[in-house]
Amino acid sequence: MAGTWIFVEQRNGNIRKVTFEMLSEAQKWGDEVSAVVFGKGVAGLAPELAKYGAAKVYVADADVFAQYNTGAFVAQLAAMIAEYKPNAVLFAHTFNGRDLAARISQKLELGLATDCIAAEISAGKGVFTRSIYAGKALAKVEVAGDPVMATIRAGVFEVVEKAGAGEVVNVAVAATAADVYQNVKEFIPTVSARPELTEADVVCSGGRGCKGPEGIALVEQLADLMGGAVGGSRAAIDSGWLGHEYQVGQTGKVVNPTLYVAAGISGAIQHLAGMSSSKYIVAINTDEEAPIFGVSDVGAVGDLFKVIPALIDELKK
Amino acid sequence: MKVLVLVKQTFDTEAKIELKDGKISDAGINMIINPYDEVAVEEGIRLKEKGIATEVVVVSAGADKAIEAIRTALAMGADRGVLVQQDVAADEFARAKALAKVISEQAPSLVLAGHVAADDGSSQVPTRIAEILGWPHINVATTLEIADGKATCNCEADGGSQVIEVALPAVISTQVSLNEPRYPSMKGIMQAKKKPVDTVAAEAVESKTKIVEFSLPAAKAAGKKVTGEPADLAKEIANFIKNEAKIEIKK
Amino acid sequence: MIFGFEPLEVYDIPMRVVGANVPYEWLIYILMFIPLGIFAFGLYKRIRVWLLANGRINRIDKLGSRIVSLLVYSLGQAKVIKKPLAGWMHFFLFWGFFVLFIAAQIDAMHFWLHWPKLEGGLYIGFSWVVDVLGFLAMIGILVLAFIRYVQKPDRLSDTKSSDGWIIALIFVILFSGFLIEGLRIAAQIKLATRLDEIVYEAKASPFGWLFAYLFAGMSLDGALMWHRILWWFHMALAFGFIALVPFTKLWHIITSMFNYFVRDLEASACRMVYNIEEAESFGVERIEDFTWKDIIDLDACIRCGRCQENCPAYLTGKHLNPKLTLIQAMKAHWDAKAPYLLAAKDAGHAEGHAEMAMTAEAEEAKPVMEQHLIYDVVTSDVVWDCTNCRACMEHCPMFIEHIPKIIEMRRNLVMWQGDMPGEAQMAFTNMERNYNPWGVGFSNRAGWLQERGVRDMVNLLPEDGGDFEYLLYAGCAVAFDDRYKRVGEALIKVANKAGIKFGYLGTEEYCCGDSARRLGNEYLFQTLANSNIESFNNYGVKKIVAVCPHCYNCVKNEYPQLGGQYEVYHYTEFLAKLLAEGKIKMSRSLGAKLTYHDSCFLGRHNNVYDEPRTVIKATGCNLIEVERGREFGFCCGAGGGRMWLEEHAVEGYKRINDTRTDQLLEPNPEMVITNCPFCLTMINDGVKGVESEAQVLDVAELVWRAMQ
Repeated sequence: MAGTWIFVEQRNGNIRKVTFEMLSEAQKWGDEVSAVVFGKGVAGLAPELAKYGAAKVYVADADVFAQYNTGAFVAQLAAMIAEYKPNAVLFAHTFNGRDLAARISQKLELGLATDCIAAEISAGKGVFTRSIYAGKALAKVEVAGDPVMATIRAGVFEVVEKAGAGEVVNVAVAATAADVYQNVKEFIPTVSARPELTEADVVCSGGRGCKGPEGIALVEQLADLMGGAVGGSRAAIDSGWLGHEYQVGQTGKVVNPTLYVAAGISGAIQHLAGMSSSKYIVAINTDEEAPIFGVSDVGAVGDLFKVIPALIDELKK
Repeated sequence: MKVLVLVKQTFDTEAKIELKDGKISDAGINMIINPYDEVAVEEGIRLKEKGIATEVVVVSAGADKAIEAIRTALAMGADRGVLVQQDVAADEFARAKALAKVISEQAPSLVLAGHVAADDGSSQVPTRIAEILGWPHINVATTLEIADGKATCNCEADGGSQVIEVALPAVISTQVSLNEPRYPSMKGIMQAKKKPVDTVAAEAVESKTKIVEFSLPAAKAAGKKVTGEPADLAKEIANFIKNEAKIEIKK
Repeated sequence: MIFGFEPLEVYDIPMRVVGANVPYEWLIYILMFIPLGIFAFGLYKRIRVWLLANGRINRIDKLGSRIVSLLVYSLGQAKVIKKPLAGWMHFFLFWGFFVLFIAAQIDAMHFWLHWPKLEGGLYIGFSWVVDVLGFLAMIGILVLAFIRYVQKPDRLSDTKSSDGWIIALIFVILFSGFLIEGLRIAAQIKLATRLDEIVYEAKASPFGWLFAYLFAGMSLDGALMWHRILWWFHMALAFGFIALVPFTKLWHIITSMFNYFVRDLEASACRMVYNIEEAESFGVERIEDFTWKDIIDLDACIRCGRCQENCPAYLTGKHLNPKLTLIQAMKAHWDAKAPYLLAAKDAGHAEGHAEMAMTAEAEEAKPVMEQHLIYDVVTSDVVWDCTNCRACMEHCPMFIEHIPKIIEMRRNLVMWQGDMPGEAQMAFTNMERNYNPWGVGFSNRAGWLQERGVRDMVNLLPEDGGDFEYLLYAGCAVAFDDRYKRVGEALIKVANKAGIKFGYLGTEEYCCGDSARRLGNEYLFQTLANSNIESFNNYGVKKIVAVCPHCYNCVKNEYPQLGGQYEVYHYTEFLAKLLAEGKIKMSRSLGAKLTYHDSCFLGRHNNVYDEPRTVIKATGCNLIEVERGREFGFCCGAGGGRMWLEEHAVEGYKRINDTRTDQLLEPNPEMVITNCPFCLTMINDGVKGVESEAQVLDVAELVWRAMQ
């Protein structure tokens, strides 16, 4: 038996934080925790993974893994599970993680809990907490299987440094080019382009209080810091500070990100209708009576031209 | 080319969730087509309008009332429906199995489905179906083009987006930005009444997972309004963003 | 006498002989059948065309009211004179022509029956009236020509050459009439031995007498000859006029009478679609599917442009111009299409173009028959631009029904074509799923009571039970719009002080459906309305106080179509009533300078102008009337479901709400007062946009302030 496996989320050798979160949390369950990494030239990642308690680092290094593709990754992982028989395999709930997890669990005819926000694995059984109905309810799911499989939401577990052995296990490459059925013709990395408003996890919007393009620029800086999208109330759109496609509200776009930051937006119902289902709402407005404070989790009564720069500094700390 | 669209009937996204006898109560809840699936239905109909698809079949697994979701899809312009009667408690594995069986009988060239359901949010079923059928799949498509027996999509990926091409038959899961679903006209609703909907029993498959407990999250703390120096306000917000909303900061 | 003619004489008593000095005068009684025949033929043709309309509507009920309407608006010109200068000039023109026409009939009657004998004082009086009114008519036509050609108001921007020819014709008929009269009197003066014998004509025909001066220098024979020539000339023109009526803009003389008789006598409401479950099509897609009233409307439009100059969409540069891009566009399409429809009907094809497709005639008809009413003729932009503010219908002197036509086309777009702006789609979905256009979860519809601290001041149904006299139909805005919740709160507090505890339906109150209906989704409207009616009846509701004027209009004027009859008050009417009964007392005088915005659905749609003003004045405020107030109130831009659609400002124009805000802020008020949640939102937006300090409040809030 090969304990708990954490499937490493990396791109071009950069490991995403959620991997360390999973490594840290898995230590709590007593079993040996190892990392599994697929890629091209990724053997050097082992020490970094060992810092968070990885006992072993299974490395599958081949050209076919240079970029994520479902077919090759599934073939490789299936072969490794058959060979090493881990008790549990955890993936990050990212685009790649959930794609891989769903397909491999079906291939092995196993159950899978996705997007979990709490996990407990013992005696070949996993109990996971999932948020359902867009966070309006929680479900505890029992996953029995060999191995237990789940995908974990980023940011829910603490990262704890703990030295692990980090023993590199170079595994035989079981996947070939014939396993690749998706022709990835192009990868367009997000550089400056912000995510689409309706799909973004973070949306920062500016309103009349931005007073002009300078105010909107501050909102944009804040959004970029969180990988968020930028939106605006009708006043900002009307004044020409942002294009029509950025309007959030009844007659614009309806968004429901995890975090919505409303800067200089008073929050008329026409705007609220487009964003009030956001999970967390932060509002910055000079008018203490602004209705936006009625829906915000944190409402800062202040001048956005002073608060946002300070906030950017604070977040960068 | 035959296109098959999977739809799930879910709670209205504004519905108030309450527990009754330890389960999520559906009393007084308006049921809708999962908004992500609605986009898939629209895409199927557009393929037909473009002359690429010849028939759009809508399939839903669930309780008998899920036929309303099928009817809505038919009113939008799909051609016929299949209701797979299945316990709503069936897990993703059992649902994928039941749907895959119907799909293999219907033998479409393309299966479209929303990439996630608004209720359980699990985003597994389309991918699982592709695996059962041994078909390629593309997840979270934001564009779709069909040509020469291949489907090409822009889709969301970690750290960016990518363009993926797969050979048909394939399963494609859709993102909401793919299109704007139409509002069914009365003409559509009238025509939908005459369109056939078959009902089949789901293949009996054991679920692999089990929900052992439902609960409601602790009531969100009442919003707080803070005043003071900009630096203090910034601290307060930063603390909330990092520790409560748990947003990753790109430094 | 048959072959000769009666010579002109000077009579012993004040009188005159019609046709004296005119040889073969009797011929006109034969010749007149030519213009009358042409007129009858034209009338027949137009009526046949009207009967091509497929839509059904009952407008021949309530005969008494219809006859009164016909008399008041035709003889009384009651609508026409609402536009003072042009209106009164038309009044003169109308009465001049009308009286001259009657006079001609009396003359004809006398020719055949030798009765009535117009002699002495009777002659003088009769002649005076005709003479004076004829002259006023001449003044009228000159002023109207001045307006059209010198003032050139924008509303007459589509002036055609035929407008000029008709004006010229009318003027020449009138002027030649006076010349004839002048020549006759001049000749009589010359015939008379003493001026005394004929001086009564100065009284009987004061203007004719003046015209006689023109011919003072003319010989008797010359005057008699010119009299004869001009007499025939005048008659020829008059006959021409009659013959032209069905074929020119003069046709409005007839269509106006039709429209005054068949106008909509009911309270302002959208037309009902009965048995919607069994309907086989929705709205109007082809022009012939409108009702005959709608088709007559197209003929009735006299292109005066009063609709245009009051239309908020037109005035802010939108595609909609009720005269040109709606009614006249439809008329041109109808005039082009009707002959083919008629030919098809005559050929026995009930369905028209389907079978015609085989014939050569059909080839020619194709471009017209294939033109799509909504997309090619009117355009969907025009259809969606309308705010249903009713200014066009209010000011139309012909009672043309613009809004029902727009709504029929919206119905077709929404329920049949499935073609509508994305925002409309979202509003519909929200109303369907959560019974309010914003889509806020319906389960918390009563939550605002707690939030605003007025939970104990109402009977929330069913949990509180208990009796109530008035049901508060708060509407979606009070329930979900944070800003408007305060208005609901103020109203409940005022009522509470007056000792009234409202009943309130809470989660059983649904959106009234006004926006759905006016955006063309009749099915959704009926679903929502039926749910509300069921709840009202379930709790034995008799009296309703509505906060939003849209709810008010809908519940009061439209729910009866679905069997829901209640005594409905807008809350401003209700407050005015409490005030009159002495049940509410102000504790202080606010003394603020303010302007008041008449919402369209309270004002024009329901004629409630005075009650809100009474209530506002009772708070001790100085109410400044804005230029566009009362019947001329300018829409905020949110009616007709436009609240839910984005309004894109047209280059060179402001948005409707900003335009209205400028008007309301013009007197520099401390406050702008509204009575409607949509108006409040729109005006508030406008006021913020210009960074004015003025407060935008609703009437209820003002009253509660004054009571504290």
